[in-house]
Amino acid sequence: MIQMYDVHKKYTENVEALNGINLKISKGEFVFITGPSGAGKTTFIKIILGWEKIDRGQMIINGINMLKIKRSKLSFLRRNIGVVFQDFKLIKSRSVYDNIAFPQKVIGIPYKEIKRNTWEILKNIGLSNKKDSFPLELAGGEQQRIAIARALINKPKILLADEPTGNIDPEMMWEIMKLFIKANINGTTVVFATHNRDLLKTTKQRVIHLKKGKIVE
Amino acid sequence: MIQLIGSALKEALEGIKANKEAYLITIGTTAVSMSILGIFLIVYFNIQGMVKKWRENFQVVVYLQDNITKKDMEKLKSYFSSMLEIDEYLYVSKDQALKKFRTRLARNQTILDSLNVNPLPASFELKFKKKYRHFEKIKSIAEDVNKFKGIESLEFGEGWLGKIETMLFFLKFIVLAVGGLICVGIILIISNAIKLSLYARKDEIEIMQLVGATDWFIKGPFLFEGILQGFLGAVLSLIILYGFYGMFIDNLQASRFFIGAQSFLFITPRDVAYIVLSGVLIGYAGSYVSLRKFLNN
Ligand SMILES: Nc1ncnc2c1ncn2[C@@H]1O[C@H](COP(=O)(O)OP(=O)(O)O)[C@@H](O)[C@H]1O
Ligand SMILES: [Mg+2]
Repeated sequence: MIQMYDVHKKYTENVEALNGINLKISKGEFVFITGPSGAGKTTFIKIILGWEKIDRGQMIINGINMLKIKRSKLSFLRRNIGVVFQDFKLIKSRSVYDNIAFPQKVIGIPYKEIKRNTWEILKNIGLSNKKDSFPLELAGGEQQRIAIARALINKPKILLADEPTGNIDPEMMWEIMKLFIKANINGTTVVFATHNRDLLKTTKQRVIHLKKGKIVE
Repeated sequence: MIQLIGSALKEALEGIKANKEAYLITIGTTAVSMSILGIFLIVYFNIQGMVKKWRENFQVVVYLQDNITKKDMEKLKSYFSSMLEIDEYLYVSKDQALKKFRTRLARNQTILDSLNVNPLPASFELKFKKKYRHFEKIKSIAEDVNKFKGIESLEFGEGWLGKIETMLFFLKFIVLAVGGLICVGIILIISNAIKLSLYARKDEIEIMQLVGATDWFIKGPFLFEGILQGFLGAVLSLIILYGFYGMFIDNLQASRFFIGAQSFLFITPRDVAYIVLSGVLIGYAGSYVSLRKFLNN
């Protein structure tokens, strides 16, 4: 599902955000990406999305060669990728319902179906009663559940998360984790960047450690 | 597809509602700028219309000496018929000239009665084919004709026709230059408005890109917004122009100036359509400029 060969990414001349990454993440895997702040976790997530371009190396995402992809095709790649951020990135001026319905509108799903899907996922995350609220009226954990629902609504093949539990109370953290695990059980490949040790201690999943843009053991 | 266009329109209207004041200012500025352009166009078309009318009636009169020989007369005639540029030529004898003169001055018969000789010369009236009714062309033919024997003098709108044609040329240049500048100005105004609109919805656009919206999906509402601004600006400018035109015409009729020469015209329906269309295109261009910059980084 995700393959990288000798991938390099620099923002400025002397900082190698990613410095020769080689890895393979298979379909249906759940992988943690960890490492200290500045190690390159966010950059790793961003290059998978095509949000940042790589400078050197090869990268294949969902069968697409990311070096050759055209700007116009990028949007179609992203429809197969859901992404969740630490700061939720919800649209503040729109209701919970609209935020979740949004990615479906973008890809042109008929209204009726949008309604059905949105209701169903709202029920799954346990927030049906908050559908008309606005993001800023909700707790951090609730906002993040909405962001996850938005990332999953179009049934992506890959789910990316960049420290999704970073701004959330520890009690809520497990609620959030459950949603990721559920998505993974349903077949979604999950790449989860975090530096939360509690989370990593309890997991049997594969963990990739980054340090200064390199994979370390 | 229809759903997509519908939602783009809805988004555009929401964007406008969220920023009504700025939107009205943009439309107002666009309308004022387009009105200035419109005034130039109206003046230009009216002068052009007058010149065209004059040209249609335009003729060169070749006055003949009283003692012109038959041979010279025949030479002249064959020259006229050999010239491609000359559509028709009409011989006006001394008697016919006098008759014409009499009917024109019917009320002052007494002056004429005191005349016992006919002072009017015979003449040829030359009409030119439409496409040759240009000052330079006619001037060169007139110069040729003047070389023939038996010619008293030539009369044609030498001075003013040439002047008006140069004036029209300069006016056309000014209209084009002012028009171009104003169009660029409006594009900048609208593109600035769209830029503000884009920044106001920066987060939303970022999310659209994240969830895989195509560029066109993102651009749609903003293009509509710009087009609507251009369109409304154009329509408003036409209303302003029509108001001014009405006032102007009233004054014109009151002062009785111009009457009989030619009635003063408003822009034609076709030009109205062009102005509205350019409003739409300018609006499109304005939003396109901003979108290009914004989406490419
Ligand atoms: N937009 C950027 N411009 C310049 N440098 C950046 C940018 N984003 C990240 N970096 C640098 O790249 C390195 C990796 O950053 P990042 O991927 O955000 O790490 P992490 O998410 O693990 O904290 C850091 O040194 C950071 O300063
Ligand atoms: Mg980070």
